[in-house]
Amino acid sequence: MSSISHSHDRESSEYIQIGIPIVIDGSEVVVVRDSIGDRLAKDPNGVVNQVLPAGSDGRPAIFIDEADISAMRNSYPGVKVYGLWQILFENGRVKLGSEVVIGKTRRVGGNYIRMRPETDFSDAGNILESGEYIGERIASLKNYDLNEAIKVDLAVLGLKLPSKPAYSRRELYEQFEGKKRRRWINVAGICALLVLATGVYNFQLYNAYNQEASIFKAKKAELDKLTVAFNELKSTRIEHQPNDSIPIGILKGLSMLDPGLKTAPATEKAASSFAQGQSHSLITSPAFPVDPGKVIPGITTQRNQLLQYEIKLNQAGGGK
Amino acid sequence: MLGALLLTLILSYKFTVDTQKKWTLPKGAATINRDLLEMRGNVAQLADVAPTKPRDQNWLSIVAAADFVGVKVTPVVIKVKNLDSYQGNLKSWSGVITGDVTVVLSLIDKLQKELPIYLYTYAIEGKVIKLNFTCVGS
Repeated sequence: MSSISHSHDRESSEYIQIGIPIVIDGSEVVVVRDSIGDRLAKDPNGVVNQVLPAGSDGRPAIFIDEADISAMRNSYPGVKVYGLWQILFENGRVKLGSEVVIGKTRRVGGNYIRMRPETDFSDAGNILESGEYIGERIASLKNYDLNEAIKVDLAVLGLKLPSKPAYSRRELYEQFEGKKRRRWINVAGICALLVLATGVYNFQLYNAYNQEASIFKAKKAELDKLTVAFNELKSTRIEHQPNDSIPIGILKGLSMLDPGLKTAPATEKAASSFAQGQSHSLITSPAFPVDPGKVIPGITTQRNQLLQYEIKLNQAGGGK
Repeated sequence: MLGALLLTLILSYKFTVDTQKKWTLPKGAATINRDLLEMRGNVAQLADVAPTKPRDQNWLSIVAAADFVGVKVTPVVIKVKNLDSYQGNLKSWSGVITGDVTVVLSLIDKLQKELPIYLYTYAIEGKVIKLNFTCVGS
């Protein structure tokens, strides 16, 4: 009796026990009953969490009842919770081959896995359900002698902890929310950085603009001052002394050549003028014998029906 | 999340573009340096020129010279300035000089070398010229 109670002592536990903290692989954990097969997953009233997805060998997924996780959290806050079959399957401790496989986790009773009757008992795909038994019989399988069942090695020594402990829905939700919140905080940080960068960039642009604008303003003021000064100078000084000596010379020559010389009849648009951009149009006496163009350079002549020479000075009026 | 990021990006971009539009330099900023240089040159050039004599004095010189060679100067009041009249900043008086073509042209040629006289439209017929001119001065 004393040896049994000793084996159930939590500090020196050598075998997996359900529902109390034990040390596996150097960590204190609690192992709870879990459920393999469809039974718990299909229970409409229970809230269950999958701790191990279905295996590639056909083994069904393993679930833990939410209520069991909550109970362990209340009793042993902060201690990681694992499912019994989760640990055993992940450590390869379960050897199938008989209709029932048991793990004797209590003095009188334990946990069992039941295979579908009359199938290949070594095929994990044929696992029907798991459950607990008390005494030497399984309630739903009264005729089965448990001595024929394969017994799973429950020694703690050599066990490794599965990668993922069991979490309640609420914990999973909080983890998800926490992750989401962290992601949002990151995004908010990036956004804030962007806004800050935009602000700094625009501030620099604004500074550059301000600087250029003030330089421009100063230059514009100087230009305006110079323009005023220039206009004042223009009211007392002549930029270019008017000089019409070339057309005057030609006109003098023409009038000496032909005393009957006259200006072409002035129209609205074209009167002979010295003004800039204007032209000089003259006509000789009728039947004038000499082509003035051959005598005086700088003019273009053309004879009309009255045998007058129509003369145009090549050079436009002098600068004004 | 991606939407928030994108929105921030778009708003930042839009803000930058909008403010850049607001912060554009006024017209003439691109050419201000050239304009300034040119105007400095203009002023320096014109400042080197001696101021002209007063307009009235120039006018009297022309009238006296015309009288001396026997041609007539008639004052004309220009009401509306156009291409055929003086458009500068100096004070001006306009007139018509009438007389023998050769005499008038020789006189003007000589006077233009000393006095600021601008010549405009003219008519020649029967050895007589009628020539519009403007005498300017300070």
